[in-house]
Amino acid sequence: MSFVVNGTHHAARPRPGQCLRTFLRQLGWFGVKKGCDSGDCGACTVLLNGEPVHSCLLPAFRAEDREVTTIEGLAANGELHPMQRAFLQAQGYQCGFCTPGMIMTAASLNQSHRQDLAFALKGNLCRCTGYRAIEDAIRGVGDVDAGDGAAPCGRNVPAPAGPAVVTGQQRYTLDIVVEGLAHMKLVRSPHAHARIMAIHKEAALAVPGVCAVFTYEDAPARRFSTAGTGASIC
Amino acid sequence: MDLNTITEIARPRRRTDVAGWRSGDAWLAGGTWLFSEPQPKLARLIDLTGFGWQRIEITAHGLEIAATCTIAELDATTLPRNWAAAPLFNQCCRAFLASFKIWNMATVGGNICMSLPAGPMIALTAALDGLCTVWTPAGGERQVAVADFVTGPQRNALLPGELLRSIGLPASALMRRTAFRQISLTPLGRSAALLIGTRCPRSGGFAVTVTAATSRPIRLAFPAVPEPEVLRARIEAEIPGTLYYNDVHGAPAWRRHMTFHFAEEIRRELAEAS
Repeated sequence: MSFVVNGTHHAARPRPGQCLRTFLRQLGWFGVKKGCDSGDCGACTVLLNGEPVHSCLLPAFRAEDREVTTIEGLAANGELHPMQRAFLQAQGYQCGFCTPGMIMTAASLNQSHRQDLAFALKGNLCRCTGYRAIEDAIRGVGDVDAGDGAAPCGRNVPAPAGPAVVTGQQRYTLDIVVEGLAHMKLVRSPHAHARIMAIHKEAALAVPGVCAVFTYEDAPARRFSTAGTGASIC
Repeated sequence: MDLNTITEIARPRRRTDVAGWRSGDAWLAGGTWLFSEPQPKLARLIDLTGFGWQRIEITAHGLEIAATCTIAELDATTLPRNWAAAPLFNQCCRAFLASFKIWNMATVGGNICMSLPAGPMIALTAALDGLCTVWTPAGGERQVAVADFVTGPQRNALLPGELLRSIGLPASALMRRTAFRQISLTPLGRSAALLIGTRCPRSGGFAVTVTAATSRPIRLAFPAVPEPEVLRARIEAEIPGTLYYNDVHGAPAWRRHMTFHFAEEIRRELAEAS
């Protein structure tokens, strides 16, 4: 399958049921965040032929012969997109995880959307800001006092990570690729209030790729916690 | 999300390309629901976009909407000036819980086939006398009124292997005046009651279609705008208490209350001279 991401031509075939979000991240576009995985949070928003879509809901094969723009491709000719600059000026983020999707959405709003931001942004969830700084960014309100080199005390100085956040370069845990990393899956009992008498691991261990299965039998008798002081719990 | 049990995407161009329907198959239109939840029972997706259906056709007889027409395309369609029902299209699009970005992917047919009580395309097309054209696996087709197509929450008249091809809205319905009412427990939330009234400019005929409040669409038609007590009695008679939907988006008693309230508001609005 051939398609273009941020001006870069890709020739790669997605898995049949793969969504565009996973496919893009597999190709190294980590500015496309994995959030709710069900089309609600908007962290995976990209432009498909210029139209904003939630890439976690889009079958990857539908990108064939089309152009995808992610947060990494929003800036042009070395210049930040006006919405990226606005988010820097208003510090329209806190942890910054939702910001790539938020900026992609904000950059695609028309005048009608801007009249009703609550409606326009209901497909983008932010757990940190309360949306005040995001609204400031979209409305062009600047909250940062650059200070022209003056002492930072008493001024609203920008977050150092800002430029990386608004360009999708900031890396979060899910964005770090460690070769050979094993993943852990927590399997809960499907039966509420059941008393577990024994756990048979044979079937799980027979699944290709499974390295180990840990159960209550592997829990140490003496327990430690990383919470608080990290002291042992007896 | 990734659907890891999918092993094949079929992309038919013609109807005859569709190989035998089998267990584990699903039609793929926008994919916005299919890709929003794990689908462990599915193995093959049959992509409808390859058919290349014309998304919207406006004729003297009315409007034919392909099942693959996206919500964004429907919302952007300019309708003839004498179709007084035109504002209803945007009102129903805005009743989606989903973001406007989802409108670029989700389809009219998908929303109807999901058959959720709050499906706003069900409300729109049921209120405008929509008629579904269904392709049968044997190569034939049949037609079902939208109001009869949806039979309950996530239940509809489609048999295994059948496909919703299009939805037709007659010009006579599109020329009617309309009144729209919708409420959710939260601002911009999922509809807990969505009622649409229509009034025919020629005959004076009045109808109110109840969706979201009920498990399936209920359309109540009258030869003229009824008196309040007549409307109330008809709702009482045709919507038993058990038909009001019950989920986290609203208690049945509240949905019932809002149904009567909105129906009366609609009656008053459409009783006024245009």
